[in-house]
Amino acid sequence: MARQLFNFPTESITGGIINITKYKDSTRKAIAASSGATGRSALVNNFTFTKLRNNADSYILVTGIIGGMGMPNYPHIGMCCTIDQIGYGQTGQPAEAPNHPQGPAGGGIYYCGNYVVNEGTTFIIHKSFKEFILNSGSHRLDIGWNANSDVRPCEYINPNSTDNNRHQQCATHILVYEIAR
Amino acid sequence: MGRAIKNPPPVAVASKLVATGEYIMQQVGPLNSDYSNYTLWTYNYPKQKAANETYLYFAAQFNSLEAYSYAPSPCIRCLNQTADLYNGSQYHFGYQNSAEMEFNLHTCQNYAHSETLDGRSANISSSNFGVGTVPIIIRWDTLSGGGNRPGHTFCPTARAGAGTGGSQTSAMDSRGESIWYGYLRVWEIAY
Repeated sequence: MARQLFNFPTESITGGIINITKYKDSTRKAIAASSGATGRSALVNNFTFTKLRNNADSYILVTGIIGGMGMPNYPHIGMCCTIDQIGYGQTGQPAEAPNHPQGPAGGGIYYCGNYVVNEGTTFIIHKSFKEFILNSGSHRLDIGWNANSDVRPCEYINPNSTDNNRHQQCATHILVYEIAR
Repeated sequence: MGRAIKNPPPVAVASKLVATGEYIMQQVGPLNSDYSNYTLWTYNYPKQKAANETYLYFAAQFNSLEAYSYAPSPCIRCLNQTADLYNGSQYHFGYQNSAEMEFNLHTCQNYAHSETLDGRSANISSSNFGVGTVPIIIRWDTLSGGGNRPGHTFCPTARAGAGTGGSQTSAMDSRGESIWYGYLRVWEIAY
């Protein structure tokens, strides 16, 4: 006669990491001052990744570091980090982000530096997309800023010895986590 | 007659996380002179799985006393890593009135893998990445070989005070009554 199992524990793994996608950019790049849609992808432009599960099963968490150089602007210039261009927020040119509600693209990226040529500016990215509806399939990640005048948070990203002969080639490093709900 | 299972668990979610380790960083310094390179800390992570089964992701945040400009950032990586040595690390130093002031904030993250990962070639030999000790270091390397200090006293202990040889050692005070620990986290992740 076979065993019968009663009251089997109902716990299951929660919060597990389902998948991780890596982004790396080791190319020194000049950052131009810009406004509106142009700046929104100036730091990370259309990085595509694949989500394995539907929205009901998992969400996305993005963490990372961007090494920069020089900080020429006042601090509040609308830094944003979003997936599928959702929620770019306030804009004087809504046609640049049609069908996208205002708001949730903002934040999740923070930076600080010194307004001195060839001095480091540190960017930290840490953003949960648990509130976003993202189903399985291909998605895009964009990081930058959304401003109503031409601004920039730094002069270069991924600086190297061109900026100072002591510096190795720096690289942006971002991880896109897919996490079980 | 087959087995009958009552109240089976819901479908479990397969997790990529195999193991995690941590290392608490304590004071290094005062560094009273410049160095072209310097290994601040080494964490001998006990890797659980074989080189072709898991890779490592690691991150660390910490402070250091006395701000220095231009110096290369301390970077986190495996000791035997052969590429991507300087990814994902940066520091911010205090600055006021054309002078370096007070202290620095350091942030580091990187990963190492011996199998092709997301289309990128391996950056550590499988012989250095199997079950057992895998040293993870935080270190700076000056490209031009000159002397540098991205900080004077890292993760200062209580009443650390000032050393010598810095440009702003007077800014390193001794008022702190707690140890300013840093934390290093390692995630061992399945391919």
